[in-house]
Amino acid sequence: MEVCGSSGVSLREFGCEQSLLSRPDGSASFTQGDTSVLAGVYGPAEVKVSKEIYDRATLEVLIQPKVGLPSVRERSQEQCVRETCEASLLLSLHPRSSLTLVLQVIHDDGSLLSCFLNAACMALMDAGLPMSCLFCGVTCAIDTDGQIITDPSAAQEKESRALMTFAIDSKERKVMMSSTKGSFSVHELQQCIAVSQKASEKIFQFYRDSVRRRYSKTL
Amino acid sequence: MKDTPLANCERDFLLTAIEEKKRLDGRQTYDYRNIKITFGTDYGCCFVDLGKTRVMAQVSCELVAPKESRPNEGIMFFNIELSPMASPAFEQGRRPDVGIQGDEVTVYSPEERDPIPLSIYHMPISVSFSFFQQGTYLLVDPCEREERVMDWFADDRHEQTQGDLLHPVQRGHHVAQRPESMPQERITALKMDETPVEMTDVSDAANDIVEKAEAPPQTYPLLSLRNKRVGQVGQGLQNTWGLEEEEDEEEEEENDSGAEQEEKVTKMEEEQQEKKESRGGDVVEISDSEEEEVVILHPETDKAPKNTGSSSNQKGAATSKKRQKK
Repeated sequence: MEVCGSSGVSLREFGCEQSLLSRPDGSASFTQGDTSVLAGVYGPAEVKVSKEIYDRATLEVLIQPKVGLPSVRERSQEQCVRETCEASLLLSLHPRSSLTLVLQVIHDDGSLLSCFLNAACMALMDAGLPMSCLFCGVTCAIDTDGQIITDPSAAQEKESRALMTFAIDSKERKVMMSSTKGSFSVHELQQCIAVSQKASEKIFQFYRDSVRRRYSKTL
Repeated sequence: MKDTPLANCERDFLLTAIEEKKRLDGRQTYDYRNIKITFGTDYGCCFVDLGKTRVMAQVSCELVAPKESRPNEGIMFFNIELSPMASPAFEQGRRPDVGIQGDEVTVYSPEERDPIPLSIYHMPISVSFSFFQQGTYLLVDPCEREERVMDWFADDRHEQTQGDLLHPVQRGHHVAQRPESMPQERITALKMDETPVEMTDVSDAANDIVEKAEAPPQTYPLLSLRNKRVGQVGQGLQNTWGLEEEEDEEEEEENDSGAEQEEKVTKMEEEQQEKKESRGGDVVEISDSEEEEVVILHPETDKAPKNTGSSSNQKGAATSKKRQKK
C-alpha cells in the first residue's frame, strides 16, 4: 500500500530500460508498478518551416493511448509534458531544429502522467540532449479520509477525491509543473507538494542507479 | 521530421551484396529473423518482435446493439497505427474517427462474469518476401535497408491447414517484369528430408478419392479472361509465370495423392510456402472479396503478365473457385 504517514513515502516498484528501440535517437521504457510507458525521442532534426523557431528548437510531444485515437485528454497531457521538457532542455543550443518526443502507453494502472514524465526524462537523457536539470513526475491522491497516497494505482485513483501530479526538478527540488483534479484545500496542496519532493529523491536516486548500471557495462 | 534519404552508394552496395547472396546482417537468403512473442498484463495485449521490428497489438471490445440489417453479427474494426516512434517517416496524421454507440442491455463487469475468449477458426502465418533486380533475386524477411532498395514486396499468408495467398505489392510506379523462376528451389518453413513417395496404385487411389468426394456445392464456369496486368502465384493456383499448363479441378477435393502433389510441387514457383501435408491442385480464389466475378488466368509460356502494385487489381482478377475454408 502506498499510504504516506509522517515517516516514509512509499512508491510502487520502478523499472527502466534505455536504448531499446533502434530507430529513435533516444528511447526508454519506464514502469511504475503495472503502469508502463515507452518513450522515443528524435532530434535534433530538420523542422518544417511553418514550425521553426529562429533561436531555439521546436519540441513536439505526441502521446499515443493504448486503445483508440488520441483525444483531448492526450492533448492536455502532452501540454504538461511539453512544458516540463521545455523548462529543462537547453533548446537554444539547437535553433531551427525539431525535437520530437513520442510516448506510447503500454499499460495504464494509475499515475500515468508521472510515468510519462519519468519516461520522457530517461529518453531525453538517452538521446543525449542537453538539459539544465533532470525532472521526475510524482502523483499524489487524497482519498476520502484525507490520507495522502503517493503513486496511486488505478483503483486508488478512482476512490480518491483529489488527484495531483507534480514535476519536480533535480537541482533544487522545485515544482516545474502541476496538474490537479478534484477538490482539496490549500493546506493539503502544500502537504502533497512536500510529499512529492520527498518522493522525488527516491526517483532521482533510481535514475542515477540505472544510468550508472548501464554505463558501467560499456565503459 | 523526415527519414534520411538513401545514398546511391549504399543502395548499390546493398544490391551488389544481394547478387552475391550476402545480406547486411549475415543471414542466408531464406533466413528469418528472430521472433519473440510476449503478452501484456491485461487481456488481449501482445507484443511481437521480429528482429528489431516491434509491434504491439491490443484487442478491445464493447457491447453494442447490432446493426439492424445484420442482427446476428458483431462488428470488427481493425486499426493500424504507425506511430512516429517507429520511424521518422511516419508523420502523425488525422484519420477518420470510427465509433459505435449503442444501447446496452445487460453489461457484466469482468469481476462479475469471466470474459469469453474470442473464437478463432484459423491462424494465418505470414511470410514476407522481397524481389530485387526485376525479380532476379529473392530475399525472405527483408530488413529496413533491404526494403528500401527492393523492387517488389510480397506477403504470403499461409494458413495452418491449407491454402496460400500471395499478394504481390509493387513498389513504385513502374511495371516490373515477372520474377525469374528458380526451378526446383523451394522455400520451406518446415524442412523435411527427401523421402521416396509410394507411386504404385496412384491413379487408382486418385480415382477413389474423386469418387468418394462430395460433389461441389456450386460449379463455376471456366472463364479465361486474359488480364495482362495481373499475375498470380500460389500453391494450388494456376501459375501465370511461364510454367506449363495444369489441369483445372472443379472441386475442393482433398487430393492426398502423393504423386500429383509432387508433380505440382515441382512446377510451382519457389515463392510459395509449402508444407508437405498441404492440398494440391485446386484452383483457389486469392482474395476474400465478396465479388462474384472471377477470372482464371491461363498460364502462358511465352507471355509474361505484368503485375501491378495494387492489390485490389489482384482481387479483381481472382480465380474461379472459392476455396471453402473449413
